[in-house]
Amino acid sequence: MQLVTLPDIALGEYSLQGLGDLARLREELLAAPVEICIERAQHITAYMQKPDTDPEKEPQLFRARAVRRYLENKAALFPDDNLLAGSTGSKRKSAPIYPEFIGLTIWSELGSISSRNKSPQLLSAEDAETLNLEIFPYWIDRDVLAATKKEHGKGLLSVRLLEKMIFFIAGKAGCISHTVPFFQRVLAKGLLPVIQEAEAKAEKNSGQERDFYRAVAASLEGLLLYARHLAEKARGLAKDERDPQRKKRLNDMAAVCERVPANPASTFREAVNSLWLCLIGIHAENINMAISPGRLDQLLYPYYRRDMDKGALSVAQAMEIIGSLWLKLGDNVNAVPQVSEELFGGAGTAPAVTVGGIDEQGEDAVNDLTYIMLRVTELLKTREPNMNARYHYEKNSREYRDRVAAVIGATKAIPAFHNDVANIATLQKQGTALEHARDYAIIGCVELAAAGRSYDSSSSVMLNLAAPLELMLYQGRRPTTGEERFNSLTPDPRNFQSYAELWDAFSRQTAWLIGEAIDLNEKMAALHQRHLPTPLLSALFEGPLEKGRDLIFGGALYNSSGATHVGFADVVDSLNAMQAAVFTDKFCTMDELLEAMRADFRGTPRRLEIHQYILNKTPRYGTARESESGASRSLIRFLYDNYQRYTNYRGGHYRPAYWTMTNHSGHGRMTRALPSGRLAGKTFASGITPVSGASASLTETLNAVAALNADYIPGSVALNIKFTEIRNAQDARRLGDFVEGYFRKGGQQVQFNILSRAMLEEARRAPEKHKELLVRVSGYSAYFNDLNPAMQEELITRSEYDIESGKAVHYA
Amino acid sequence: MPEVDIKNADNELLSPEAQWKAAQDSLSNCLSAMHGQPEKPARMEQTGRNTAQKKGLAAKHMLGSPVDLFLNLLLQAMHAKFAVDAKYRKNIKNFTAQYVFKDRSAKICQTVYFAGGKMKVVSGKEPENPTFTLIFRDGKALLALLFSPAPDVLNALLNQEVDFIGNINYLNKFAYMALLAKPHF
Repeated sequence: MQLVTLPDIALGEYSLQGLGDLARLREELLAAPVEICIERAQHITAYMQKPDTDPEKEPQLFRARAVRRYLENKAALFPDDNLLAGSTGSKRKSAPIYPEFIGLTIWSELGSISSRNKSPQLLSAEDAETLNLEIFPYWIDRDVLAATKKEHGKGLLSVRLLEKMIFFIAGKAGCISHTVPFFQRVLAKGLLPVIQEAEAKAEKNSGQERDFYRAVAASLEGLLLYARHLAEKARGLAKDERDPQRKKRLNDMAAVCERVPANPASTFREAVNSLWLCLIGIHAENINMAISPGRLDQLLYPYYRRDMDKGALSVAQAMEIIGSLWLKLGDNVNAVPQVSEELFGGAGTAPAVTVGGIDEQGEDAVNDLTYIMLRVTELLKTREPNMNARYHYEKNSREYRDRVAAVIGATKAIPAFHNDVANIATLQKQGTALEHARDYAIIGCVELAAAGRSYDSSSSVMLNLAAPLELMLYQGRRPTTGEERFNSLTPDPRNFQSYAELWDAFSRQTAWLIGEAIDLNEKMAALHQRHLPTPLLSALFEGPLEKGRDLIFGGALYNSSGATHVGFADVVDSLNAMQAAVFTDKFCTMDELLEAMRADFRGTPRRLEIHQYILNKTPRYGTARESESGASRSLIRFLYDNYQRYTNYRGGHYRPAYWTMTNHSGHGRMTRALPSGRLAGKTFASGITPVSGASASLTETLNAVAALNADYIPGSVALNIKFTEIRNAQDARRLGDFVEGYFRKGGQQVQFNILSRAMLEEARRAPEKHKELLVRVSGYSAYFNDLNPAMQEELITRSEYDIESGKAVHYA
Repeated sequence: MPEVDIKNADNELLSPEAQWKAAQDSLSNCLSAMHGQPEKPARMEQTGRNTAQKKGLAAKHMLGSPVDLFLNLLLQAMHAKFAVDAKYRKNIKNFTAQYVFKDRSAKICQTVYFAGGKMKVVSGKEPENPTFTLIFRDGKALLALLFSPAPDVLNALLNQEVDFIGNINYLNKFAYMALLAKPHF
C-alpha cells in the first residue's frame, strides 16, 4: 500500500491562517496565564475522607473509586473553542494539584505563587484557603515521601540523601507516570467492552485479581461519565447558541462524546478525541509528567486513510484536528514550587509524540499523517507536544530525513532525531521482542518504550555523577554539605598510587550511591503498590487485563525502571584529568590538585598553572583522543553493569540513560570545582553532550558520542547540537547528512538548536520581543524566556557549529 | 505557662489584642532593624509599656544582632494572633505537632507545641521525639526562609542554609502560618 500520497510532503500551500481557528487558539493558549486547579484535589480528598470502599480489603478499588469520584464530578467545561472536547483541569491552562505526590511542596508559597517573578501560577485566595485548611492538612502525613519516612523512620539514609537534594532525585516521590499507553484497543473497540470484560473477570476471580478488575471497571466508568457530561453540556450550550457555526461545533462535539471513548472510533476526529479523553482520564489518576501519546502517525493512520478515501476528510481538516490536539496537549502544566522552577524551569509536561521510523514488520512506516504532523508542528511552533522523529537510515527515505531537518530549521528546535537501528537493537538486548522493539516510541524526553507494552518508570532515579566523584575525593563528604560524612568507604585519595586505585574508589562510591537511590525507589514503589495503583492506566495497556494485574504489580508485557545521570561529561573529563595530570604525566600531585580545587583554581600561579594544564593538556570527552583511551566508555559500561544487576519490584531491570532536563544547571550550581577544571557553581554539560568547546569539529564530537555504544544505554541519551542557522534546503540536507553519519556510527539521539549566540543574547536582552522563542534543553523543549538565568547562559555558550563546514564558531 | 505571653511593665498579662499589637510592633521593629530601615514609632499609647517591645528595641544594643531575637518575636506574634484571630486559629484546629527550632551553634533553641487548638512555646529544652526539627545556619537564614516574599523551603535546603529532621510538609505548613502572622509594614 502506498503510504505517502501527498503531492508535496512539505504541505507548503497550508498556512496557520487557513486552518480553522488554530491561529487564534494558539495565540490564546500562549497568552493564557497558568492557574492552579484544585478541582481534582478536592474530590480525591473528599473521597479519601469518606470512602465507600474498605481501603484495607480492596485497595485497588478504593483508589479507582477516588478517581471515579473526581471524573464523575469533574466540571464539563469548554474553556476554549477547540474542536476537541475535554480539558485536563478547570482552567484555560491548568496546574492541577496532586496532594498524594508533591502537591504539598507549594504549601509555604500559597501566598506568593501567584506573584513570583518566574512562571507565576495564579491561585485565588479562596482556593489557597481550601488548600491550606482542608486539603493539605489531610495529606500532611500521607503523601509518598511522608508515608515513606513514616514507615521507615526519619533516619533512613537514602531519604536523607534525597533531602540533601545534591545526590539524586527519586522520581517516585512525585510520580511514576513517564509512559506510552496502548490506545489501539480503545480506538478499535471502545471502553464499554473493556468494562464488560473486566466485570466478567471480576466475577470469575478472587483476591487481588478480583480487586484489580473491579478497579478497572470503576475507573473507566468514571471516564465514560465525564464524556457523557461533556456531551450533555455541549448539547445544552448548542441549544442556546445563536451563532450557527458555533452551534454546529458544539453539536458535533456532543455527537463525538456520545460515541467515544465508550465505543469504537468511526472517524478520524472521533479517534483523536477518544485518545484525548483517555489522556484526561490518565491525568485524573496520574500526574501528567511525560504521559506520552506515542506513535500517533501510526495509531491514527487507519482512521485518516478511511476518511480520506471516503471523501469525508480533507488534508486541511486533518491538519486542524491534529493542531487542535497539539494545543490540547499544552492545556496543563505541573504545579511546582519556586525551586522546581529553578531546577526544571519551563519544562511543561513533556508529552512526547513520535513519528516516522519503521513498522513492526521492519518496513518504512512514514505516511501522509507523518508529514501532516510535521507540518502542523512547523506551523504551531509550540512546546507541546515534545516532537520526536524516528529515522531508519536503511528504510526511511532521504526526503523524509530532510523534511524533518527542514522542520527543525523552521522551528529552530523540534523535532529531535532518534536512530531506529541503534534503539531497536538496544531494546532487543533488554529482552523486547523484535516486532515490539520496532514499534518503540519516545517517553517524555528521550527514553525508549515498547509503546503500550512496556512500563518503564523511566524517571525513577536522576543521579548526579559528580556526587560519587566528590565522595571519593573527600572521603565520604561533599564540600557543600560541610563536615557531614555520608560513608567511609574509600581512603584518602592523596595516597592513591595509581589511576586504577582511583577508579576503584570512584566505582565503589558510585555503586554505593546507586544502591541507595535504588533502595529508596524500591521502598517508594512498595508504597505506590499499596496506595497508588493505576487501574485506569492499566486498562490502556497491553498485559494487565490479560494477566489480571495492575501495571504497578508488573502487569505490563515488559518492565523496567530508568535511571538518568547528570554531569556525565564533567565527570569523565575529571577522571581523565586526574589520570593524566596526577598519574601519567605527574604534572601535579593529588594534594596539589585538591588544594587548587578548593581555591577554585585561583589565587596562586601554581593553581592557575594546574588549571591551564588540565584544560589544555588532558583528554576531553568529545574528542578522538578521549574516545580511544579515556574514561567515557568505561564509565558507560560500568554504570550499565551496575544498574542491570538490580531487579525492580515489577521484575524488570534498571536501565541507565543520559538526559538531564535542566538539572545540569541546578546540580552544577551546588557542586564545587572539579578536577576537570570546571569552576565552582558552573553549570554541567547537558545530557550526554560534551563540555562546550571540547572539540572544534562537529564530526569529531558526533563520532565520540556514537562510540559510547548504545547497547549499554537502553534508556537513551540527549545530545545537544547548536547550529548558527539553516538558510535553505541545502543546509537542511547538510543537517540530515550529519545526523545520518552519526547514526551510522551508532549514535542514538540528537537534538538541535538553530540559534546563534547573538540571537540568544538578543532574546535575553529583550525577552518581551521573543516570548515564543522555542529551544531544546536536554530532552525537552522550552520557551527561552521560561528558563532560569543559568540555563539561558548554558544555551548561549553551548558549542556552536557552522552548518557548512561543521567547524565550531568562535566568539571574541 | 507559655513563655511568649507578653506582660506590661507591672508584670500584668496584656489582653490578647494588646499582645497581638505589641508583638506586631516588636516584630516590625526587629525586621526594620534587620533590613536597616527606621523603626516604627512605638505604639505605647495603645499597648502601654511592654517588655517584648523593650526587648525588641534593646536587641540591637544588647545582643548586637536583632536576628537573634527574630524567632522569639515571630513566635510571640503567632501566639498572639492565634489568640485574637479566629480565622488564623483554624490553622491549628485538630493540629498536633511539636517543632524544635535551633541554630547550628545551639545559641537559639525553641520548642513549639501545637495541640488542642493552642500554641505553646518553651525555650531551651528539647522534647525527646519532636515531630519536626529545623536547624538553621543563623537567624538571618531563618528570616530569609520564613519571611522572604516567597518562602522557599526547598531553595534554603539546596543552599544549605537550613537542615531538618522530620517530615518537610510540617515545615511548609509552619512557613505559611508564619507568613500569615507577618506584620505588613
